[in-house]
Amino acid sequence: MNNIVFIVAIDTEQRSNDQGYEWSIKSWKNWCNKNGHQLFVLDKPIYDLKQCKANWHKLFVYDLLENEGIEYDKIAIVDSDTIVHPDCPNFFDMVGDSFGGVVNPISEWVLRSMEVYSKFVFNNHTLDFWKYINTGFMVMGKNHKEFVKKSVDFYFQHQDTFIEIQNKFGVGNDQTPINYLLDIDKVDVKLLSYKFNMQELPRKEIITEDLLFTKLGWVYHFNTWPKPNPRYWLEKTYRSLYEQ
Amino acid sequence: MKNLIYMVAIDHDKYQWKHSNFAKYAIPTWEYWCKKNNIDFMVVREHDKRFDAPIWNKELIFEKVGDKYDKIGIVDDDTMIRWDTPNIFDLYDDEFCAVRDDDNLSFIYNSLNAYSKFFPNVNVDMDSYINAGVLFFTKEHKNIFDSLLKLYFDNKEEIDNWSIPNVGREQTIFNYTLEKLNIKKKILPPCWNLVNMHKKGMFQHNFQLDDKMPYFIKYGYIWHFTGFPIEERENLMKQTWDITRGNYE
Repeated sequence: MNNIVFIVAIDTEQRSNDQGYEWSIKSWKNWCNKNGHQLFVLDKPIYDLKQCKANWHKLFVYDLLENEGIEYDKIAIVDSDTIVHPDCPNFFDMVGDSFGGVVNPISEWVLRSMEVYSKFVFNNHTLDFWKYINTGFMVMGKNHKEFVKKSVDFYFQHQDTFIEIQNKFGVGNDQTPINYLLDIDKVDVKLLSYKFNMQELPRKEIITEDLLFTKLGWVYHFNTWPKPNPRYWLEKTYRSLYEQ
Repeated sequence: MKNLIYMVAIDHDKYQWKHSNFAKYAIPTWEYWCKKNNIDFMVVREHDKRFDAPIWNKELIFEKVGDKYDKIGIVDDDTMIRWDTPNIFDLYDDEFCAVRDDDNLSFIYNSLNAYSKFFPNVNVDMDSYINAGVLFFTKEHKNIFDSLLKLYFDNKEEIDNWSIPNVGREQTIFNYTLEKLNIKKKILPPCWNLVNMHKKGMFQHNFQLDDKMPYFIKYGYIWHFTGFPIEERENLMKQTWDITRGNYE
């Protein structure tokens, strides 16, 4: 088995700098080495980012791997603002042939995003909010290549609408559309525990100086901009887990 | 098949706020829904003096109704049910049903640690920790409530004088008991017990699509008015009743 962890880490602006991608990459590199997986990082854009934001670049993973001649069985796409615990169990073994994901905690933004994309892109299709996944951690296999290709095609077919929605409503890039496409395509999604994509740590009240979250799960996702900035938490968490 | 919704709504000195002040908005919603679905509805207003805190009256369910009902729901008196909610009793068989409580993981972590002393060698995983304010089960689950009552009376003094702050009361003990008895659980989608609505922004509406309907009404079946300062509860439930009452007539 050759499993791939794929990270898009395109450094483009101050906000990206504040993320501290390097700590995320180092942690995944360590975890991959320990478990016999391969890390693949995309750090340069393929398309003009005004036309195709970095978030959408994660869906080019199959083409990138095949162009590089890299063999793969399963792929995990993880966001560059995550740190993995060195003892994280092998989640590749937990999804079978399903598409693996972790539910995104419900919020006003998620519901608004679902409603905006439903109205302007997905013909009023509706989603169960408790199945809506965060696309900062997705596990897929060879059998999902076709779905991902269709999703990329869908993006380019509706590119102008997507860019307009992103600019006008600020309701996210790839995440909500991918959720709709998974549902419309009836992709079998295996929902993994929150422990494998611990998002919104401030709202969960576990982002503490003693790193309480590291006792409660395996993959820490510093989204929703924890103060002072994600870089602070990425570095602190990495050093605590890997350098002590 | 005979089913029951059971609610404890007691005014008590132990509580800072009179529960009747907000239960008066919860009760009509449950009355309407129960009548519509041919379900009995029981509200307990008298405190059983064997307990210190009224919350434990919940556990007397089988003492009060025996084996008269096939399926039973226990709901907190700060919950309101949407008028068109499907009949939950048609949606499960023999499982114990509840919604996960995962909004404040720090609280859950501390609470599990605090109450672990009563449950040596029992481990409750964060993923299976439930909110005990909305529960659906069958008459076969009497043993859970027997076990809870025994634990309470065996440790009454310590539980009544519990001194560890911010770790809750009965809910974590309930979770431990389910685990200890190896109860088969069915985790319901969160629409069946929308907790911490304030934290999730569910009192807001979609301002971008000019849709004035608050999210919680659109997306929830059972609205649980908890997780914010208790002094806001009565007003929020009143506002909810004011905008929805026409649907219950």
